[in-house]
Amino acid sequence: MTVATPIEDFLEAITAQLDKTQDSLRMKAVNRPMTFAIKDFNIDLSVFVEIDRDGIVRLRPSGPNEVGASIIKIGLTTITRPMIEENTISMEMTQSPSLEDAGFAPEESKQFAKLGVRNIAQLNRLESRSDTDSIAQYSRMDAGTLRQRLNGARPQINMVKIGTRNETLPTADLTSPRRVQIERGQERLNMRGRRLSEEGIAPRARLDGHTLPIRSFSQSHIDVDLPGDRGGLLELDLHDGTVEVFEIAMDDDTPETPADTSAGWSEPDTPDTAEDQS
Amino acid sequence: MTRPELHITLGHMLDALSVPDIPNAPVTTEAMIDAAVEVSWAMENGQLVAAIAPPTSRFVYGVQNTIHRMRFTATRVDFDGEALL
Repeated sequence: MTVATPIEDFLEAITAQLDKTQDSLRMKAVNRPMTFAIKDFNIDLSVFVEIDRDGIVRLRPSGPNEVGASIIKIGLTTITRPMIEENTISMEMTQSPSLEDAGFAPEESKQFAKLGVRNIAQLNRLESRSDTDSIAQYSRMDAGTLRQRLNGARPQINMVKIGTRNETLPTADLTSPRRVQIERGQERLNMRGRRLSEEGIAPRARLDGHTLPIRSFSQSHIDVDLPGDRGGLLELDLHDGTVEVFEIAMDDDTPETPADTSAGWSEPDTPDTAEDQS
Repeated sequence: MTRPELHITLGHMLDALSVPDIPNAPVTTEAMIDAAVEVSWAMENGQLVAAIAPPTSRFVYGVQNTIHRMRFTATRVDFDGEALL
C-alpha cells in the first residue's frame, strides 16, 4: 500500500490483529489450560509522515529502497478496566450528537476539533466552565452564531404521551404553552425529544414541588410516573440545567371515583349479574 | 509470497514457545522476542489490515524491502477466562 493513511487507522489495524490473537489464544485454552499471553507489544515502523490541509496526520509505509523514512514506535501494553475508564471519555459522552448533526458547518466543527470538542456534550461542558464569548474567540467563530447554534442544540421535548401504566400510550394534546390535558387515572407520562439525557445523568421531575419517580430515561425519552389523581405544575430538570415546565391539567369532567370508599377499594367492572339472571 | 496477518504470525511464534506436556520438563514462562519483520498493509472490506512476518526476501540485487522491528513479551498464564491483552 503506497497511499498515506490516517494514523488512527494504523493503530486500529494493529489492535485488531492483537484482538484476533487473543481470541485464538482463548480458543486454544479450551484444551490447554496453560497458555501464553502477550503482555507488551512494540513495533517500530518505517513510515513517511504527511499532514494534509485539514491537519490530519497520515502515514505512508516506506517502500523498498526508499531512504529517509521516519521511525514511529508504537507500544501497546496491558491495561486494566479502571485504567480504561480513567483514560477514556464516557460512553454516554461519545453518544452525544456530533457538532455537524447539531447544525455546525464542517469548517466550524474542525475548529472545535482542535479544541478537543467533537460533540455537543463536550461543547456544553466547555461552555459550563468558560463563557460563550471566550469559546467563540478561540474557535474563531462569531459569538452570535455560536449562541444560535448552542440554543438550537438544547434539549427539546417534541411529543408527550399519557396513559395508564400498562397500556399503549396515545399521544396527548400538547397545547401551547405546554399544557397537557390528562384524565383521572392516567398516571404515566412519556416525553419524547432529543438530548433529554447525557452522560447517564438522570432528569428530575417535580409536580407542584413534590418529586416524581422517573420510570426510565434515555437521550430520546423520559418516562415519569404521575400521581394519577391530580394535576399541577410539572418541572423537569435536565442534564444541562434546562428546566422544562408543563402544566398538567386534570379533566374536571371526568367522573369521580365512587363516593362510597368505606371498603377501601371499589369493585372492578363486573358483568351485570342481574341481566345475566334474566 | 503473501505475508500472513499479524495475528497468525504471533500465533506461530507463541506456539513455538510451547513445549509438550512432559513431567519435569523445563517450561518457558516468559519470553521477550525482538524480531526483524517485513510489513505490508492492505485494505480489506474498508479496513486496514496489517500483514507482518519475518523477512523472507533476501537482498540479491536492486530491491531490498524495508525491515521493521517488532518486540513483544509473552508470559505463560493459567488461563481462567480473563482477558489477556
